[in-house]
Amino acid sequence: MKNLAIALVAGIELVLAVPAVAHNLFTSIYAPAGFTQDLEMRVSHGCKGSPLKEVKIKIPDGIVRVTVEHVRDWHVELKMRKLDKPVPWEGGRTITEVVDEIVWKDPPSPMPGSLMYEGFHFRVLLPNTPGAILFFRTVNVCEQGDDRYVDLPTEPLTAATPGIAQKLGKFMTATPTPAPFIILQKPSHPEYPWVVPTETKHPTGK
Amino acid sequence: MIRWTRAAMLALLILPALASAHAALVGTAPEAKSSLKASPQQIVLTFTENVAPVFVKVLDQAGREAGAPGEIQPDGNDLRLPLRKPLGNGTYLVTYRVISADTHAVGGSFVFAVGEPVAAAQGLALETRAPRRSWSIAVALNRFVQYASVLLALGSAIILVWMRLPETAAGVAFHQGLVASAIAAIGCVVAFGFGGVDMIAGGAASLLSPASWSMAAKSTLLPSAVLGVPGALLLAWAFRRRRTGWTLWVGGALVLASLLVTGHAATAAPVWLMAANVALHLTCASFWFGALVPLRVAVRSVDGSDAGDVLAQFSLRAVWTVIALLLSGVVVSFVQVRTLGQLLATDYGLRLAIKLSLFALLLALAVLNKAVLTPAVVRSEAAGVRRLSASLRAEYGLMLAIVLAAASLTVVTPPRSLLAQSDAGGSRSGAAAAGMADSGFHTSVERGGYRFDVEVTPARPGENRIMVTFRDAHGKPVDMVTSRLTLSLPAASIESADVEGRPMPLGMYHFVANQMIIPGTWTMRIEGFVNDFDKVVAEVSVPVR
Repeated sequence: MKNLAIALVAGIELVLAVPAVAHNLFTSIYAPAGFTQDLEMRVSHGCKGSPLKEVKIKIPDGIVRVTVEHVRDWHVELKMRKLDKPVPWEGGRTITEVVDEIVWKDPPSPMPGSLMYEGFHFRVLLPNTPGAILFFRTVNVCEQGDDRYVDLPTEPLTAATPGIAQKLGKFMTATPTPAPFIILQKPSHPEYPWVVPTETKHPTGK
Repeated sequence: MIRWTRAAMLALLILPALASAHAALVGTAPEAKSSLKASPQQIVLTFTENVAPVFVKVLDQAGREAGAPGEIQPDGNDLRLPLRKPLGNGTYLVTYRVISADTHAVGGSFVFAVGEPVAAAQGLALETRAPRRSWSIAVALNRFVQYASVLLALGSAIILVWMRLPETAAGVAFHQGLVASAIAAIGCVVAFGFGGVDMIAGGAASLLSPASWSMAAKSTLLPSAVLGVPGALLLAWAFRRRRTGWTLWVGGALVLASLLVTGHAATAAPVWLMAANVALHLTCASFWFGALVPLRVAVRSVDGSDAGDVLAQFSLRAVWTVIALLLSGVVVSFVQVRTLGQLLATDYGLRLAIKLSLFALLLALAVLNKAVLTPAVVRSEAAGVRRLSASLRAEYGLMLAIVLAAASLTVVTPPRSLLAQSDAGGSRSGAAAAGMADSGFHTSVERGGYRFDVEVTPARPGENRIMVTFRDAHGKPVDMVTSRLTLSLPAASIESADVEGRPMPLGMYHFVANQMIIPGTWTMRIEGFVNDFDKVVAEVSVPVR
């Protein structure tokens, strides 16, 4: 099983290695299902050479807790969304609204359009759905124009989909603007808080 | 009188020789719109005269060059394009651009098919860049000024050498010659500059570009200017100094030669026979033209006997002149008339007809002058002087109009694409008919609850303007966050590329596409962003032809 996981990881890395350079992408595309995880969404360049001045990330359904790293060189704005159905939370509380969109904007100086990249950090509680692939649609706004990495696969994909490595590779190159994604894995070792959560049924993340 | 009528009839035959028409395509092999069983080994274009090729291309339906063509080989009035690889089954477009001997660029295209019927017009009407009409008109106007001034300068020289003129009339002839030759010198230089721009089909900016000047230098405009400018300056000097010796002969010969080298005479075979005849023809015409003003002055200002002397001189010479005019014209037209029939079917023919009617009027006036008015002047009738004076003035006007008509014959009618021709016939092919408005292509599609109204203008190869209007299900315009448009031509392996666009009020987006230069069915992908992350997408096929 572990070997299979390694083979899968190696296969996907191989396929993604080349196209990954040009798009918005998560620095680490694997994350433990059901745990809180720090994510870095990397913006590889500006828009056709134009400096980057704003980044927006749409939080997919199924993520109910988001915190954003506090940085001093971007003004961070959180847009909230009311939940249709409140989610029960620790200590008998319920969650009625979640972060819908994170916006980093108004930097003292924009990120240069080429030869530099920047990581945008936030922390999410991932749904406990191993094998699900979560797509985070993102928008780069530049001084001239914008790049909208919002394209989703044409068919639902999970880590268990046959030929997933090739299919993800194809997705990354089918359009110039694929949405960045992470692949949820069943944790192979205990993660903080050192307990393996019980598996819950959750539809593939959108 | 009958003799004059016959003369007029003959003159009608002569004139085409003088009209500096651009070359016309009179035949092709393979024949236009024909279907061949096997690939041709060469493409042959037959023109009405020698032409210098700029390019001849064979394009397949995807707009790619086909047949691995070799060097273009000029052969008399033919251009041969050898094909080193056989053409596969399909429809092909031959597109060409040549410079004719009169220095005008002529372009056009035709289709043929190999192994199958010729495909419908869609996607096959590649248009070569037509010369900008305004420049063609500038060239033609300058040509008019050049023709008129050279004829007047030459004519002034001829009457000063050939006739004994009273003082006042000679003075007028010198003055007329001076002004005309100065204008002719300028006209030669301007013709060189304008001609180059016209040949490379450029705009005003290319007047300063080396390309247009080197193109002009490669054409017959260079020898024309080399002969014409010194000739005109020499004439101007002679007229100013009132010299009537060899300077007038040399200057006159040079300006005459400058007209000959850019006209048909320079290229039509047999060259020397043609050149000699056209030279004679132009000389006779210039004598007539140049004599009109001095004659009128003589008639009005001196007493009857002097006027009678001048008119008698002119009448005598005019008879020989007209005979020479006719004889030279018959020879020239005998060579040229074979292609005349093909030319008369065009709007060139219409202009020619206008010119010929003007010439008929001129001849009628000449007959009137000789038969009725001149005897009256000789009899010293005051009314006769007045009438002859008015008649000469009318002849002068007619002469100018004829030269103008000759110059207008040289306006390059922008080569019409095959499509334009078939449009004129009212036939329009296939599925594209539904969406083709006169102003371009338009269509509407619905995707994801939105309607995309798309207009492409003019939907022809070249720059196209694309207007997309987004509407909701109720037809109300929707302002999108942004819109993105990409174009590709899969048939020609032209990858999709972004098109620059900007938002307009009322749900509209305006794009300017420069890449649609190849005819074919372009795939247009339109994305409208309802918000930052959600988009509606439509793909539209746009026929460009």
